[in-house]
Amino acid sequence: MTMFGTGGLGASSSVFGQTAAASTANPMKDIEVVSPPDDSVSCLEFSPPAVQQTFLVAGSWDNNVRCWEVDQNSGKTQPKAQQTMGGPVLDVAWADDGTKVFMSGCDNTVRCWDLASNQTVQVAQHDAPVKTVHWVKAPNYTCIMTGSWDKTLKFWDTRSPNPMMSIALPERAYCADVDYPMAVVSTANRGIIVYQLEGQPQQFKTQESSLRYQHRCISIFRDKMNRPTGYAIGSVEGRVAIQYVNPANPKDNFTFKCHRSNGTNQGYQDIFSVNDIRFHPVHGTLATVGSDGRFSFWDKDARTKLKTSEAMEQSITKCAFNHTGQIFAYAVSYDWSKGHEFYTPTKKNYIFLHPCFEELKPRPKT
Amino acid sequence: MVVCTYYNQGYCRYGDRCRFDHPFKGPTAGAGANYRAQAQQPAAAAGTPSSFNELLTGIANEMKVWENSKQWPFSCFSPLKGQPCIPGLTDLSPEEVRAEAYKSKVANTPDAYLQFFNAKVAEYRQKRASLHNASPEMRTYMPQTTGSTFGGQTPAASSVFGSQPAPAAAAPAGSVFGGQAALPGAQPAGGGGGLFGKGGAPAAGAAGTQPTAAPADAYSEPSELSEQDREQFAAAEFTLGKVPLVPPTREMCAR
Repeated sequence: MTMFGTGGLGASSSVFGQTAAASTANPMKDIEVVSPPDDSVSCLEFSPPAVQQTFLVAGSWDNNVRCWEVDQNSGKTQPKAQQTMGGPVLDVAWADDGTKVFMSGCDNTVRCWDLASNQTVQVAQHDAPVKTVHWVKAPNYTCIMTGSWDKTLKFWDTRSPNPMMSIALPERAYCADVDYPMAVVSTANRGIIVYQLEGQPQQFKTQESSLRYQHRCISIFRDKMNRPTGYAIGSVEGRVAIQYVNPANPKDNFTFKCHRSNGTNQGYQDIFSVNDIRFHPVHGTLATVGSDGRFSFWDKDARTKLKTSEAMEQSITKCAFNHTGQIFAYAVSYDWSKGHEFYTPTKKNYIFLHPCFEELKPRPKT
Repeated sequence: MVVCTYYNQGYCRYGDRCRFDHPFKGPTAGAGANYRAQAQQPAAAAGTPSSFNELLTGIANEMKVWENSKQWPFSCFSPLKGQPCIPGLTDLSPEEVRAEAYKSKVANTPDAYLQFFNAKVAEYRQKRASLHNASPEMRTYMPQTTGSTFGGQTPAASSVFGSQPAPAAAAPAGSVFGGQAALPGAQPAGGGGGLFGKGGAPAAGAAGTQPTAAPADAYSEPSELSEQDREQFAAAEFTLGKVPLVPPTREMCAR
């Protein structure tokens, strides 16, 4: 049974006091974040649990990183601050204490934004755009992990201009995720490398991909004992793979199709990219967003779909959960999946906030 | 002929040698996006083609789906799950293409980006077409990766695409994405890197031998087998997950 079509916020006990009016731009009647970026959103992250209030940070192809404060009860957003990089922003990451935000981009650098002083300083440098940046908090060290199109993965103690470790990758880094003590990086040509972060970062193993086309996004999930145990990968071919680092049974790994249209074009389905995957911090269920402008919620253990949204006017490029799992944020902007001809710079970019705690509850075992 | 029930369920231990029929199931068969059904037959989803020709047909089909589904065109491709990508078809992400566009905008050289983009469109279209038409280089490369018993050669994997004549694919003159604006004169990728424009010599050399292997080539050399492969061939039955990808040696088959 699907929750789809029961009406935006009405179905779930609304976290937010207000309801938005449905429109073609906002078919799910979700809360619209004010003062959105002027160009496509490339990265989206909520503040960590250490911070009492809820902040949302988004990087964009307009070279800026914006920060909003989000009121947990009403969903109202207020722009707080913004910073600029030397080129389009590709990724953002919060420090675990919530005092700093790291931003990486096409100017080949990573900058650290101290929120209290509203100052930024460069902390890392690569030879090509830095596609991923993640904060690593280990008992005996803290650092940031940066993945670049220059085929290297580097770890930086942000106080030093030189990396504390540099690992050669087989190909350009496309996406990565960190959940201590595990990190996983996916590269061009379907490479998957798992790293072990205990003591010091080291390569753990490379794994084969169950997907047969370009990887787009990756996200680590945990087992019942709350230990990182596997990852979900999305590809450009409307498919997600769930893979375990050490599968107990080969059948534990599986793939499923998603973000495809019905076959109306001479019987051919339209196949859309899976642009982002995120796991719900409480329920362990997952969300995917795609080039088709829809988001879907899934239960990987019950192997069922929980919900699919209506289609937005543009693709959904990124999504994020806040740390309590109450809010699902998704960014509607063009992802370049059809090249420059379908890029309309004047079209508004949106970030929506969707109350999601009830909808992402796992399917009860029948 | 009777259809093999195990093959239908996704795995038949006999593979080629099975006495029952293994009809080919395309990897993207069926428009239904039924999540549950898909997950319950994970092996079947990739299809386990039991013959080389079935694999080639499967690839040809996939290329057709790719062209018609408006999927991102600049992607690598692997014919089977867990296998390496076909060399020569490399990934180019939307962000990389977009970064080029923005770089050109800043440097005020929009033509540089357009040229780059159009060349890529033509290059990938040409490669998909050659995969669709199963070039001789691809026929010698395929057995190496799929472990089919057709030919134990190890051709240089550098160029599956070899030297190609001008793209024969009946590509529409419009945008690769089927959109409104037509690309300003998509050029065939004549100079798209020596590897594919002129065809690597090693690959051409390997392709000189017969694509359909003579019986003498159907066996592996003892040196080509790994320790695990030898164990598997010695055992009474193959263990799932350790099935050798190369044929046994002649000695192993002698009665």
